[in-house]
Amino acid sequence: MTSLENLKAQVRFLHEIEAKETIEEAKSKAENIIREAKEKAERTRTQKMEEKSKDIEKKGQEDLARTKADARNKILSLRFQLLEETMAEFSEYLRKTVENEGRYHPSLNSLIVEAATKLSGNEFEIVTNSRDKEFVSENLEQLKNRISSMKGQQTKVRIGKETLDALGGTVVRTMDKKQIFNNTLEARTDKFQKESGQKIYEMLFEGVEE
Amino acid sequence: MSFEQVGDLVRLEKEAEQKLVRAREEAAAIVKKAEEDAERLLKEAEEEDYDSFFKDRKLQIEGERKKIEESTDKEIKMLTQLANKNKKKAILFITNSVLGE
Repeated sequence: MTSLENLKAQVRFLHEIEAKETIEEAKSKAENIIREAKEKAERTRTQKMEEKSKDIEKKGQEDLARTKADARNKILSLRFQLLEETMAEFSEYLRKTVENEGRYHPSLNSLIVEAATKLSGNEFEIVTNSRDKEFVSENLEQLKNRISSMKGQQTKVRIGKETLDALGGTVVRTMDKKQIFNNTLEARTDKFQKESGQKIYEMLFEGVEE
Repeated sequence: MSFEQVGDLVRLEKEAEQKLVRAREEAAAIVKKAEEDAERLLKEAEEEDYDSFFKDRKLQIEGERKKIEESTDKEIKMLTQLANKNKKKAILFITNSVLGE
């Protein structure tokens, strides 16, 4: 080989080497770029999956908790509503029962006697609604005897001048008006609801497992 | 070295330089494509529909929710029937108590 050809060969060789190296470097750089991108994409996927999983679980549990709370409220409202309906029907039934004098009058007598025995002293005034006034007047002597018997002493009993705006029952007070006992049906209903509301509740839903 | 030989060498040098330029352009294209692919990979990872991986869990939760609602409806029906059945007894009990019987 002449020195010129040798020189040419060297020039070609050196440039080819440089070109090859340039391509190889570029390929290597490209591989790194892709590898890093794949790793980063994988990290992104993992992170997004975790976030999504937590998000779905959180929303799901919130949804279930809300559904359970709604269910509890529905049941409670229903129980309350059924109780209210029962009390409303009771009021109507009581009103009809009071119209049945054969049943109501003995009860009225008992309510008057009970009220008087709750008070101390021996002189009482009985107040009723206008409808019951006549019945009580006619039975005043009998009532006096029952009250005296219950209290173990002689008593004086009279009808009050006022009339009650009540379905039935009575208000009994001492004649000096210092003591009073409200035994109207309304007062007794209120008292009953306060003291025995739970019992009605239990009766109404008897057989239900809480 | 003759004038022609020098000219030969210069031409050869130019050709080799051009090849090198092409190699550099090819290298730049390789890197550019890799960068574009990388960008696409990252975009895909960002925009993937991750909800679709949790369809079963969502269905399971929805099932639990429906179960609670169905159970509530059953309880409402049962309580209403029970209250209607026991109402009369309760009303009589209250009436007797209020009348002091």
